Amino acid sequence: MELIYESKSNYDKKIKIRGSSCPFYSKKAMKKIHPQGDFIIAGSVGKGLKKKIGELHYRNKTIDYYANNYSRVRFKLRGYIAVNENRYIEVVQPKGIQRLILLLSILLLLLIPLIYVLQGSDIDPSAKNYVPSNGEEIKTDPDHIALPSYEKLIMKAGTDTAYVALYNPSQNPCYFKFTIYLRDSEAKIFESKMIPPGQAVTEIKFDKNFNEGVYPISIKIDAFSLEKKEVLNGGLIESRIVAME
Amino acid sequence: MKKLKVFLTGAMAFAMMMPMALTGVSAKESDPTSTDYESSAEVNYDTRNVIPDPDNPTDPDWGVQIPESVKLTKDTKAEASGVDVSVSLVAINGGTITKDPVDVYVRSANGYQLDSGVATNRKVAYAVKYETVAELNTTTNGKNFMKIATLKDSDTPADVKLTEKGKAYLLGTATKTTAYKDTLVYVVTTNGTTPTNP
Repeated sequence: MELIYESKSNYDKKIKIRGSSCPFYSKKAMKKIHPQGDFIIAGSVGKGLKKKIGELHYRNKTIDYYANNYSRVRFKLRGYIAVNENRYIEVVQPKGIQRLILLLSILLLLLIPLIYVLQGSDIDPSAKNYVPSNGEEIKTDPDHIALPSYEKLIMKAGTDTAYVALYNPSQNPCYFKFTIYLRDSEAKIFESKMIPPGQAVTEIKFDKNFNEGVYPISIKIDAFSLEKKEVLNGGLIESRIVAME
Repeated sequence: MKKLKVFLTGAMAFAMMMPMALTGVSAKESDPTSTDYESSAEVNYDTRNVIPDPDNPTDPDWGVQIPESVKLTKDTKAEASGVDVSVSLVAINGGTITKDPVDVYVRSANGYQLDSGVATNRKVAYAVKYETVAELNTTTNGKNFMKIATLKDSDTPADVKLTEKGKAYLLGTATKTTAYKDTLVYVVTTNGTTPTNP
């Protein structure tokens, strides 16, 4: 279908079409002219549009115009050109690559600290520097890891918390991750995150309360290399919780 | 003044009686001519202060030292040239080591096969040999736990066994230029519990 460009004295914007400056209404001006939005769109002009549906005659030039079901993500509506039969052609423009770059930069800026936080979150936030009460005495052989052993974890009956130093001896060349299971049911009742050498988590909050009694447990110790956090040999310490009134 | 004298006299009497009361020996027993001996010893088990608190958490009792990883090379194809995988009882808390026997078991995550993760010829067999047990390998043990040592500290030197020496070595030959991996899991128990195989 052929449409004819209508010149208007109150056009307030201009766009270059095939080397010629083409005036049109901005969205703001259009809102003043048609505050109720009661106008008909015949199509759209702009770089990168597809689905040609007709031609627009502007001065001595013919411009293709297209269906106006373009992507609102890729294209931005700049304004309107009045054409014959009281209709309008939308003037659209691809959203600039600069905007995309800016968006990606902002995203990257947001992601970098997020990645940093996520990597850091491998370390148990409650781990703190620790020295056993009588000092530490380890003569670790090269390429070996010292696993701490606990004959029993004593806690107050009727509570869910034991105060035990889940400790990674200072000479160990690895992180430790402790997981505690009830031996009878194999239910997991506690799991730490990674604990660096020389640090311990001392407040162990279990997933349940323990009434007075003795509960056999397994303390699984997973070891990870300090640099790449690769899985190393690990251990399982057979112990017990003693809940006392 | 009179009151002070009475107090001092009483205090002296109390002080004289104290040693006997503390040792649990009665006045009658201290008479060498008496044949009617009587003694008492109070047995106490006061558990009021044994529950650890946030300021005094339970320390590790002792430790077991295990190999960090098994790093085998083409030159470690025999027990004699194998890498050290010894396990030892070690002190962590101020030099204390348990006097109870500590059983140590081991199992291999991949059944004593180093895994490269590639599609073909991905595994290479290896073995672990501890002093007092037969060679552990994929055929004889698979992924099962095997008791490798009972470690013990003792006041009697002959009973002391703090280290179980062990070596790991290749049985097969790698055909891929990549990293082959396996992990060993050591179970430490003082209560005779046998770990459950996966």
